Amino acid sequence: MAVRELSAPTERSRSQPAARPWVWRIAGWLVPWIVPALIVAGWWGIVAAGWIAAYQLPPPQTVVATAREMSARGELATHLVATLERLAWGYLLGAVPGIVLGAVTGLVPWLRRALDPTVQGLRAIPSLAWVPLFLLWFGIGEQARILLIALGVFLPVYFNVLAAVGGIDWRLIEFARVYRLGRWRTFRFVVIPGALPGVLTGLRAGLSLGWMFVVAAELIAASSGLGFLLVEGQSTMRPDRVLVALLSFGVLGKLSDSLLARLERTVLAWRETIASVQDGEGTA
Amino acid sequence: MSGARVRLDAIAIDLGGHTVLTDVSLDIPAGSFVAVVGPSGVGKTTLLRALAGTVAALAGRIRIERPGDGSTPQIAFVFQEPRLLPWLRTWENVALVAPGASAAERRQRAEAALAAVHLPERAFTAWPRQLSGGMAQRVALARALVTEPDLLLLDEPFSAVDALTRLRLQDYLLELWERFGFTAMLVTHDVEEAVYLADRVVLLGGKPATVREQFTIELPRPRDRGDARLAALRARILAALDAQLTDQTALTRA
Repeated sequence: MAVRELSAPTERSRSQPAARPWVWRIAGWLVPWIVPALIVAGWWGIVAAGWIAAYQLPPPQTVVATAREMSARGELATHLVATLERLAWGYLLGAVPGIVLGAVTGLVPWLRRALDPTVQGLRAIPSLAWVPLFLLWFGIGEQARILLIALGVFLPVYFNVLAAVGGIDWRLIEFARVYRLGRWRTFRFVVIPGALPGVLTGLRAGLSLGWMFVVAAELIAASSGLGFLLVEGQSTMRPDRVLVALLSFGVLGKLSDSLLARLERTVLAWRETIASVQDGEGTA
Repeated sequence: MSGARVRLDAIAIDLGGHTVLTDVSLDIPAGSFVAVVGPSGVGKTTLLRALAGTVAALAGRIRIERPGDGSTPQIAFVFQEPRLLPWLRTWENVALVAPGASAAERRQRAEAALAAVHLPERAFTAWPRQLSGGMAQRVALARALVTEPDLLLLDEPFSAVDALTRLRLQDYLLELWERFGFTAMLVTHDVEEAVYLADRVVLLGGKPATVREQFTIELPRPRDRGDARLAALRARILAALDAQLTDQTALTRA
């Protein structure tokens, strides 16, 4: 009895992938789109029913039309480029020192002991709280905006790299010592790959903070960029333009994160594999 | 690889301010197989670390000499866990420590070493996490072997695998030892394993620990695991170990 009950589902699940009809596969692809479709439909319905006035919440088709018009005039592209350029510079200026300083602090024990308590204390300050001080110091020019973004990116990258380098399995370090790998090869084959997962986590966290700081910088003082579109749309009572900017942020943020996620999967391929190699011994 | 002669002359080792080993003297002939047993935490691993050079002796002298030319002896270590680098494929883990002028040569040596531990060829390009415990430990053995050691240190290398795999790995180790002629020093909890493999079993005991007793095993190989003489020896060593444990308990109570 028990045997039958156990074996029957196994047989079925084995044959399932091949027998799965194409209709189901397409349905599988569609599933993630159900909720967004419902949201857009609900949005349209609410405005069409007059529950919210169109000047407060324009219907989806108006937002699409505005987006089309803005891109036709090249306006959208200009703002996108301005934002991306700032983010790219800020990211570079934040992530590179974050990796270098995090690694150095993590690798040099006395430096770590000297810096860690201070750094952990600073960590308690929400990073956006630094913004006013930065404005005081660096003014409201383009440089200040980039520095601000760099600060936002730096902190999570630094913390994650520090933790990653400190968290490398000491047993592997001991292996490197016993086998006399030497400094360079220990760094190249043990420290770097060992810290990589944490470094990539830091880079992703840094990117999301980078987006947040781009908005902050552009909200406060800018004459271009998606953040500027938000402020401008608000002051000229154009919620459609605000929504276009918001959706652009969403799309760009998601795209950039997927890019890093893909990089992570490629670089950390050794973590992804699940299938195990069978020991051929019994037959050998 | 001709096997190194290992001489410990009254060594003492301090760890974290208290003495772990004291007055340990051993003379291990080149090419022999020595097993070290003793109660948990007695300092067996510390002794291996001292031989590997990662722990410094406070007093005494450690001499590891290889016969013939005066070149530095090669020492390899097999840890309790495989300690493979998870981001390198199986063969890369071995090639990383392989001698050789070119990458191709190192790869070839790595693959020869993996073949010597009977690893199936399709596991060569697998990631370490895809391997079973026994397979991973064989890769660790191959990694030690590829360095052409004169002295192979093994720290309870088979304690984490299942019983059947353990017996198999013991035979592989013996086969490699006979083939390559290195001196082997095996720390183990398993007295049966010790008497099956070794020429000599060294019993460490006391606090701080020192060599309490040495048992010479002159049975020819291959040995029969069911041999009555091995069983008798095992019983003697276990009795001596038990005496050590009682000593220790008495000490802590006093």
